[in-house]
Amino acid sequence: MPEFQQTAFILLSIMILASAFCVVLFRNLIYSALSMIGCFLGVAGIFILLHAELVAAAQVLIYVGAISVLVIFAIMLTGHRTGDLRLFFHKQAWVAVPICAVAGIALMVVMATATYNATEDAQNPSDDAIASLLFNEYAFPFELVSLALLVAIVGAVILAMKEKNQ
Amino acid sequence: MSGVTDFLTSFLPGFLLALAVIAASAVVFPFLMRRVWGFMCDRLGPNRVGPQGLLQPFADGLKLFVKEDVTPSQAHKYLFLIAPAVALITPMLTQVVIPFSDNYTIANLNIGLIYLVAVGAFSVLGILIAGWASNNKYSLVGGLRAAAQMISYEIPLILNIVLVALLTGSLSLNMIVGAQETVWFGVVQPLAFIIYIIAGVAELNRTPFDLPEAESELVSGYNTEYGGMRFAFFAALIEWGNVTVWAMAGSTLFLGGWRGPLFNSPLWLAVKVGIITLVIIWFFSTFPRLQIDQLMSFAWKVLIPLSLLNVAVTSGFILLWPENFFLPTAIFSWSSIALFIILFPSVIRKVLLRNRLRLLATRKMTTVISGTGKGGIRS
Repeated sequence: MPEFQQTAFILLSIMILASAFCVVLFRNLIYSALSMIGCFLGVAGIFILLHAELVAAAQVLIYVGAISVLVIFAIMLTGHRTGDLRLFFHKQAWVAVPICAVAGIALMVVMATATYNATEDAQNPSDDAIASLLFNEYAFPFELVSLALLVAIVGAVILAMKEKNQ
Repeated sequence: MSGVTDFLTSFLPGFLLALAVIAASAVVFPFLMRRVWGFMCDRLGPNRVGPQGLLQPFADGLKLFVKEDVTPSQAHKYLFLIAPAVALITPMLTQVVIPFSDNYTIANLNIGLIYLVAVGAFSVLGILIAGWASNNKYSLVGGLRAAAQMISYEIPLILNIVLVALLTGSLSLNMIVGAQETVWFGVVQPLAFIIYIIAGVAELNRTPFDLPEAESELVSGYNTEYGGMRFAFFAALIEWGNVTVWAMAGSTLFLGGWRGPLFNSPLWLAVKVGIITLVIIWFFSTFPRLQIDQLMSFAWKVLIPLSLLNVAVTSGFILLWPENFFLPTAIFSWSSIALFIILFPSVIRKVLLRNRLRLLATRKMTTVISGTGKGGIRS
């Protein structure tokens, strides 16, 4: 079904681009955060089109389920009374546009000129293959990432902890 | 043309099945809850509409259906309108990977378990949006409580789902049901099953963990501003739909899914879902509501360490006896439950006494301590 995939890819790309623009352009922080979820879901859809279901599920689980919810939670907890406000990135739009354009063109050039030598195996990875790679060959970097996350959690707890003797 | 046929044959039956399951649960379970709740409180419950009150849910539905659809003038209109739809994503999509019988799953994904957890993320999103868009302090507090609670209890829930994956060696729900041919995982790992039930009740905001919609303090929590059919969406379709799909997942993971004694049929799945739901109704009518600090410390200080210990020990058994690890796992799990039951009264008495002493000390009422005596707190 190549036509279906083509259509799906175009629709998902429109969804990602539109919601990414919404994130930057909305005046209301909550609307920005919700558009961000649309962007993440679009990226998850692209992963599914690429037969990377595990990555797509992780994308939804972590970015939609944890990070976005945390962002919305923080906005609601702190600034829900401030209402609509001109966000700082609106003022910097004119500086941001040329920089983003240059970065985008550079990325496109790199992607267009790169050679892809992915095998058939790598295009359709089973979760068994991913697991055995992750826990054998790449076990050390995996554990390192876990350690970094643990340190971050402990740091956050210490920052948020009340001083007992004051 | 083939695209349309594909759509009709693959998508539509699954969609209709998921919708039918949620609609049926929204009709049956609220009525069942009110009758059972009434029975447990030694009163009648709704029994006037139709024989034994069986037509009550339809009367309620009709009433909610014809009510005026009110949107508060100060609410964030579009978010207010889409919040129930976002919250309905979870119960609809979760059913996709649940095996209904030997040869029918809406979509047999090989990452079914991860999918299950990922889709569960949308329910908290819907509640947060509803709470914020209502522009009402009760709704907002309800939404925030729901988010905090659901994120905390997702961790023990996921850890116990990990345990099932460990026991099976696969993430596919069909494989998990297949692995329970001889013995249910609820028998091998009762500790995991119990924690799954407790964490699930908290994740679904049911009593005794129903702080997001605590009537006595928050009116109705995140759905305070909703009325008519939108309220019915939250109160019946989403809440009971979530309960149903969570019970379906629970019976698939721990009780053998559609497998049962004598014969295998989707009927067994329905029976198991009914039994788990009755347990929730039983909780509802017997337990008082927890405080938010008790709720949080219970998740982080009891459930998560216990689940982590369980995962570590079970993984150790699987490494030690890769062929036959069910027996040691079952022994560990059952004995830890027995230990818990034996030690619980003395431990809880000590904890209560300590808390009381601390409370008294902060109030500078140290003279009262002697009155509590040696045997702990006075009841």
